[in-house]
Amino acid sequence: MLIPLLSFAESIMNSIPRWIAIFNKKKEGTPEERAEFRKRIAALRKSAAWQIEPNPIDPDPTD
Amino acid sequence: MKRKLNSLLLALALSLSPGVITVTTLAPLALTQTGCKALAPEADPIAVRAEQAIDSALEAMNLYVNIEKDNRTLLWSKSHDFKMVADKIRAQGLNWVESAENTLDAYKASRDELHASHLNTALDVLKAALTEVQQYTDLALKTIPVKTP
Repeated sequence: MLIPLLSFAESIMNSIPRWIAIFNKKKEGTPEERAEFRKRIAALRKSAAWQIEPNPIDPDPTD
Repeated sequence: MKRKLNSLLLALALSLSPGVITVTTLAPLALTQTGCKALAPEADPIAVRAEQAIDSALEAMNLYVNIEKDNRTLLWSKSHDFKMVADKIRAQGLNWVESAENTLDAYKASRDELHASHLNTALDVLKAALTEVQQYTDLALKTIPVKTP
């Protein structure tokens, strides 16, 4: 019961610094910053959460 | 003052129970904060706002696919739509972000109305995806039981 809660909190906490950076943006990102952003996209493509996996098997309703 | 207000709003969001902190809690924050945030005098508002929209979309999509993966069995048992939406984002989301980023680069190179219009079209795709992601993130967070001490 607590594990999903912790994974939520972790996902959210991990994203907070990026949200803060987005909120505080006052000018365009430098070419280097946008290059980093593209690198992040490339990294996410390979990350586990972004892989399409088979659907879970539904429980047999007759069980 | 605005920095203090940002910190206060963020602290308020964080002080809520984890089940209540959602991307929809953060997104309106982003809208209100980025909407009011004064840009640097030399900044091009179209480019800055586009970067904010692209960055926010990536964060929101990344949060949702992580939540769906971490809670897949439970969410699947409630509705198959959670995974269907997540898989659609997995299949297309990063392409949409990259496409918007390419369109933004083209706009920055020209700074003309034609490319601004192309950029708007690319951002509309992201906004539509964001709306769906926010809706399902909210539903997921309501579905996952939160044990209160």
